[in-house]
Amino acid sequence: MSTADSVPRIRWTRRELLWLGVLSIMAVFQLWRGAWIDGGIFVALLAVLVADTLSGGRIALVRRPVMLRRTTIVMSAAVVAALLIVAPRHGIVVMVTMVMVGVAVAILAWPATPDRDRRPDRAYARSSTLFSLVGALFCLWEAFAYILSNTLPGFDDAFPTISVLLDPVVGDTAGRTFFVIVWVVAGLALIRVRGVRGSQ
Amino acid sequence: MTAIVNVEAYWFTVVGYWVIIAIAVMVEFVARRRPEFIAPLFDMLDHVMHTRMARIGLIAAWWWFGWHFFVGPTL
Repeated sequence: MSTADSVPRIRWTRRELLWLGVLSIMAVFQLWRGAWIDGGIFVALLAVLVADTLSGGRIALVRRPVMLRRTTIVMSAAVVAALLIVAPRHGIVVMVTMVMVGVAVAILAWPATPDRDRRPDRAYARSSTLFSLVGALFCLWEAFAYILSNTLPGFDDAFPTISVLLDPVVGDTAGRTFFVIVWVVAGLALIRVRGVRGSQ
Repeated sequence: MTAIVNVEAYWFTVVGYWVIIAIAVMVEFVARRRPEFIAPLFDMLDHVMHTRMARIGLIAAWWWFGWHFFVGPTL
């Protein structure tokens, strides 16, 4: 068998290239604004995903897909939510909690999952195009707000970013409680979509 | 004068966010009424997240949003 035969042939789909583009833009933007940790997170993510694609999807985080009961996940999410609400913001407890959440969701979401098409292909295409356009518009609007507020003298507070608008909300206990619940429920919804293969 | 311009720019920016959110809600509203024409958001995510790149990318984006507000220096 020749070397060429043993090396898996890598095909980059348009969808994968678009995702790499989005993640690259996120990484560059975070590094440009001086958020080194945030930028580093996206660079590390890009590196892992590119390595996985180049290996033909052979990278495995765990030997076998993790099977968790839905009740276990919901109870874990409740503990996470409680810690994020009670522990001091930007503190070590919250940091450790978030790292553990990141590891857990990566393990749950990494394994391949079967496709469950329920709609016509064109309906998926329209939906992904429309929601992607709305998402891109939102990101562009925020990027312009950030750039304008940081470049126009005397207009520091005139073009608020989402971070500027939400920071006081998350800083308040009631606001943080609401924000944490929304964030955790969104995460559960995303994992429900693909990650959980529990018995209940 | 600058203060007035600042206030107008502030609300213009905020209204812009709400308009974009309203567009997303409208798309989802139409999708739920005619799911065979436009797939609803979570049906579409279910389909898109079949690939590991999209699945990990979306979940990482969600996770980073929490990290940004709970751990990182948000501003």
